[in-house]
Amino acid sequence: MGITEEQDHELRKLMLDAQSGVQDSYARALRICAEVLRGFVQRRLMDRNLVEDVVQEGLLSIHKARHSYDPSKPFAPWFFSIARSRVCDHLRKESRYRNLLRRKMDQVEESAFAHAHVNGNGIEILGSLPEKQRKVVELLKFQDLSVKEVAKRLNMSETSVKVTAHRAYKVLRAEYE
Amino acid sequence: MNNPVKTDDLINYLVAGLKPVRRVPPLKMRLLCWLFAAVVTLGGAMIFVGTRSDLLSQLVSIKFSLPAIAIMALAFFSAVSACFLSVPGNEDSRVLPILASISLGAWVAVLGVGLITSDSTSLHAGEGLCCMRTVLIFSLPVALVLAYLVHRAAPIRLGMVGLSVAFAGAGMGALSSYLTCANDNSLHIFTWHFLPFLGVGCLGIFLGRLFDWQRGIQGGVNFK
Repeated sequence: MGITEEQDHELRKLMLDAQSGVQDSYARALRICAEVLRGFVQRRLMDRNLVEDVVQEGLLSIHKARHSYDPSKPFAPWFFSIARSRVCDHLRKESRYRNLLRRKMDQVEESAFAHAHVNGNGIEILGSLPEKQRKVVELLKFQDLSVKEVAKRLNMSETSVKVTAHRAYKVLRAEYE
Repeated sequence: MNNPVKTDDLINYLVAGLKPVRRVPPLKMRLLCWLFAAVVTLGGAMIFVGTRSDLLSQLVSIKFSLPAIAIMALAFFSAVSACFLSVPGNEDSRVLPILASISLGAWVAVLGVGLITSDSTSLHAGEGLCCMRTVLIFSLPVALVLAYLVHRAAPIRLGMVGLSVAFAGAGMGALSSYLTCANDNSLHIFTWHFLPFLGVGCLGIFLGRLFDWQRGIQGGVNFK
């Protein structure tokens, strides 16, 4: 969903008011932006659970940059420029994080995993995770199963596997940082 | 959803704390500020470093004035580029960076021809360091003024804007050095004027990326 010409006109007026501190106009503008942003982000992110996070980041960016909007110009280019930047930032962060995790997991495979086999206590690195998350990460990362296979084996939906893995990665990332 | 904050709550929070904002000044106004800083800096260089004794006679020679015009154009287009690209929605514009690149190309071409045709290979470090110091010192005020003007907007392509800011400042530094240095040797100009200019440009990319106005916005959960 994009911004129609009518919406653009309305948003220009609302932003003009918002820049002078009119709260009602700003609330209306942000609600329209959130709706458009949601559609924009949904089309670009694989993980549906993260859409609302990125929408909120986008709204915060719009709030921070509201003084840079010139109401004599169309709203859409300004808005989508910020929206694009938020999605790109998010994808970049995700990719960095996945790479880091992959590297760490490789290390784990070489050292901790071997150690874990010896002492029979499971994989040390995953010890801090709840049982369900640990199982998902083990199957995905150490047994190289696909999301579909893990979902089938653990009797979960594919989305649920992705969400569980994502939460586990977040915990692991926090531990490594 | 992982994020415990609801989008509606976030909107209410932002609306409740809304204050009137001062809009970013128009492009012309920001450029005038930069131009003022540039003229003052150039004047300062003339006064504190002193112009070369044959400046007036050199200004009519194409060999001398062509690089000066190229440096001026480079600084000007870089400044316009920085001001324009710093506003969201303008960051994909290619015209201004291309104009700045053409000016840079013209300067490099003149330097290149000079380096090929010149026989001199001697470099005086003492004199050279003075020129480098002039480039760096007189880059700083112009770049700082422009960086402030640009940072007040909300640049999206930070590296590109940082580079433009640095080139706009370093261009004025290089021009100051060019007008005050009596050494016309191309190797000298390349080593002590052009390389410091490039160095400031690279620094600009790095510093530009550090000044991220969106830093701290993560996951929408830290708005309180």
